[in-house]
Amino acid sequence: MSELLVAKSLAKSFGKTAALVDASLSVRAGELVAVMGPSGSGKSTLLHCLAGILKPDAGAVTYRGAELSAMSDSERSALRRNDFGFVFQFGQLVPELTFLENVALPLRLGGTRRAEAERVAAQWLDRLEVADIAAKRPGEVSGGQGQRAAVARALATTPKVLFADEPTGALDSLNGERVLRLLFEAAKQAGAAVVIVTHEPRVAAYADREVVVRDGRTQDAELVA
Amino acid sequence: MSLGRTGRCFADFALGARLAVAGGRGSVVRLVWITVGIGLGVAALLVAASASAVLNSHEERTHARAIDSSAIALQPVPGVSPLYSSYISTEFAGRRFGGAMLFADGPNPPRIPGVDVVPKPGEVVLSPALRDLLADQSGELLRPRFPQRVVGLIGDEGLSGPSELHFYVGVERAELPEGVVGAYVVGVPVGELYFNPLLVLPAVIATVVLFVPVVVFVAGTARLSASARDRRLAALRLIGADSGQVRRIAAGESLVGALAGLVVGAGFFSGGRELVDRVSPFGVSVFARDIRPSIPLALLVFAVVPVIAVWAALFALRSTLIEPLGVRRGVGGPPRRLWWRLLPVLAGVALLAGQHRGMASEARPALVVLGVVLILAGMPMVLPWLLERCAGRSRGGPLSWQLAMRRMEAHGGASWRIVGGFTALLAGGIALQALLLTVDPMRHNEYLDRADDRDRAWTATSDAESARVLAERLRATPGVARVVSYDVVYTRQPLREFGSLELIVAPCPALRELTPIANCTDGDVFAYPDRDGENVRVPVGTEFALDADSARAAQVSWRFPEHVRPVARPAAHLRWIGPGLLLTPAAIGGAVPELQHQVSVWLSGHDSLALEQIRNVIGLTRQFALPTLAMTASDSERTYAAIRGLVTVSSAVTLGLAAGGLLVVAFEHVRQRRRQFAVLAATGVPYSTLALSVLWQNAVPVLLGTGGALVCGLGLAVLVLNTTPMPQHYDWEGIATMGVAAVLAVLLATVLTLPQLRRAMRPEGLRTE
Repeated sequence: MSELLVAKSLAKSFGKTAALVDASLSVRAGELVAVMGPSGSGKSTLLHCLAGILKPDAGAVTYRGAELSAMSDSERSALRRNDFGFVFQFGQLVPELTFLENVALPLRLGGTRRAEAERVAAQWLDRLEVADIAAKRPGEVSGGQGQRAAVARALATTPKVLFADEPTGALDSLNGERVLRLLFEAAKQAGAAVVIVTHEPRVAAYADREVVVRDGRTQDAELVA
Repeated sequence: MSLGRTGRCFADFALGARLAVAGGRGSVVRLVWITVGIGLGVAALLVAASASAVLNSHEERTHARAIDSSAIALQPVPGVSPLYSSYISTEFAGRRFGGAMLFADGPNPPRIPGVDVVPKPGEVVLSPALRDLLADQSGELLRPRFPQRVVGLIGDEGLSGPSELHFYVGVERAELPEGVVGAYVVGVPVGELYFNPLLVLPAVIATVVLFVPVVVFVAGTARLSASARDRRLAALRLIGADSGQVRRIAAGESLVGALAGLVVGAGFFSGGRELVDRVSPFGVSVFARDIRPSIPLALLVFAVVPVIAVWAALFALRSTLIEPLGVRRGVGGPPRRLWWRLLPVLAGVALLAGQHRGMASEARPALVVLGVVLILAGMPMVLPWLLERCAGRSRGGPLSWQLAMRRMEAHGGASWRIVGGFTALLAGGIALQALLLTVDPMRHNEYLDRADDRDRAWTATSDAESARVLAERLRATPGVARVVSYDVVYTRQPLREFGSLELIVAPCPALRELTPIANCTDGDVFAYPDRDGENVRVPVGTEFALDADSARAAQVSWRFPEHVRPVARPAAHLRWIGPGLLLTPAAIGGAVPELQHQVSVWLSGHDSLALEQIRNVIGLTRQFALPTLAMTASDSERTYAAIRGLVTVSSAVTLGLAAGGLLVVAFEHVRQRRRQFAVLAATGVPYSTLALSVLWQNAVPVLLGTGGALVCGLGLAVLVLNTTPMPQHYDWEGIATMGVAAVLAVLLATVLTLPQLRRAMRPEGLRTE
């Protein structure tokens, strides 16, 4: 498999605190990579740099050969809109909108007409087994249902890479398990690579590869070929 | 199935609009509050845009019914009989109104607008409001003045407003004053509108004072819930909205409130306009159809309000970097700088100071108004800086205080935006009330504020016999304690250094009724001081010209006499502020000017009904001056009172809106931080501490704003009043009332927030799943 996303020697500091010192990682198309490590090790920062949300102080991230740092804000926004999807622990859904509108949102931002965007959104809600909450708003359903809707939204644009940052961190184990299973199945069916940040060892069971981040440095361990 | 570039822009706006109305009850409450606030502002602006049409319609109708004695009106018109008329006026229950005595010398007199048939002798035509008043129990004491048979009603085209009291009384030709000539045409061309110069400055400043807060308010409400909006926008950034899209979405979101405000404002305006046919707000009687906004101004309002709202929303984003991971505030430097915030205020101060009466030969209203605008608009910019500094430097105090200070340090903007409009209005209101009190003519008669003046009325006539008969009749009128008849003459001013003198001529008993005099014999002369206690100092033998009516040419000369004895200022001085002499008849000697015969009446106690009885005795068509109480407000005084009332009501409405806004902000604050409140409660922080922290968060901006408004308002008043030569007065009572109202608004907003706070503190708030 060819390399889709490559990070080389990334360094990133917040004030005097170094979050990343020398982090490298590559993600191949359709691959499921688990980024693991203790709290404060820099794994979320690594994910944000990979997604083009943060600019590294040093090193480079390339997506299909194009360096993210060299892109304009609009280009990186378009990348997040069209090629990347995101599932975070909190806050990624717009509380004022219904789940159907939330899932349709990235499509509409990309210029898809409303009716078409909502048709696709409904399909994804159905695939993630939360079609019944389409007309509800975040806050009106359980956390597990909300996270499945967030996965639906992340995959609605058929992204090439799905970034997930502790997606089950606020869920009980049963719901967490269910969300992970659906996330990975849906991503696999959509052909999307998944970069998932977690400190839960059970997630590794799903991953093709595990990358451990410790003190801002990566240690790549190929688990499954 | 994709949209083009333009379509995507519209889609972004539409998404913003959707976000504005989505979100359940909280969003609806917020939107309703924004809509009502902007709507009230729009309605006020539309009323202002209608002022010209109202004034013009009023002028057109009053000019159209004027019966002129100009050469053109007196030119005979074939087939038209001459109409003889004389204007008369009366006063009832504090309302002064007028009409005309008419005599049509033939079957076909010129048509008076709104009057179908000219009343014959013994007949009267009334305005509908006067008819209703006469029919009502409250008009019982007015009926004796209208004994005539009512033969018709004056139509709208002959009235300045729906509640105008107006009448036409038919009389015999002999009842009209001598010299009245017949007119063949009714109506005079409308000239340029005359504005009382003393009213122009307060009116313009009132307009500014009322509309600067509207602008501040529109800008403030458009940015309400900015923190929640920023979080939404950050979420959109995460999924790929670029910065341009974020701005368009934010603009779309603000636009909804502004557009809804325009619609609601137009509704308020239309609804309110219909009401004015039935009620007379602040004593102003206007036909609803006259309230027509100028089309260009209305278009300007409809264009500017959304622009202000969108501009405010985008302006709020200038120091906020919406990023996919959240919001970073204060990007690009220190959060708030003072210097540019002070610039408008300093420029305003400089402009007003430049108009100081010692520096400028004549104050230019445009510069004064510009100075006022700059100060009022600049003040809401300075106060956020002040709040931030106060919050930032506050380190001590109880836990509730510290929680409130830290919260305000981080997120004090929302409260400020709510309080800003109120603060500007309060400051302007303080300045305006001071200005009105200073130029209010009633204030210049405050020396009359004594019991004996309050209960005294007076009238005047040029006929001595009529005055004598009237005095006799008045003595028999119920409610009248005593009656004094005397003559008055004024000196013309050939020797200007002495100004004018009032000469009261009456026998000794009558003079003693006016002021204490120990010894008086015919031929004596007494001098009384002006209102400041200064006695007249005129060299004996100085020659004056005398005339009873200063409008006429002086005809009689008189020399200042010897042996003038000082006495106290008599109680006969209604609005005469200068010094004068009391003369016994022999003292006026051979000089027999055209005396004005006055009759002063003292009522027995505060009997307002007695005054109406007196007016009824005098009647409507007799040749007496309109009897009035010494303390009765004049027309201009009523106008001042109306402006002051308008400012008070506007202040109250704006304060109410500010209180509502505070409530919305407080609700949002508790909702956003319910987890933190739950955590604090779980760690043992008592409810009272958190409740107090909410109270401080509401109270500190309002109290700082009120304090700032007080300083700014009084400073503004001093600067504006320094452009006039008048002694200054301040409405301390009004200031105190608004201060108390502000405190009550804070308490109300806090109390209403407490139930939500209590719910937020429950352990359920700790759960994340």
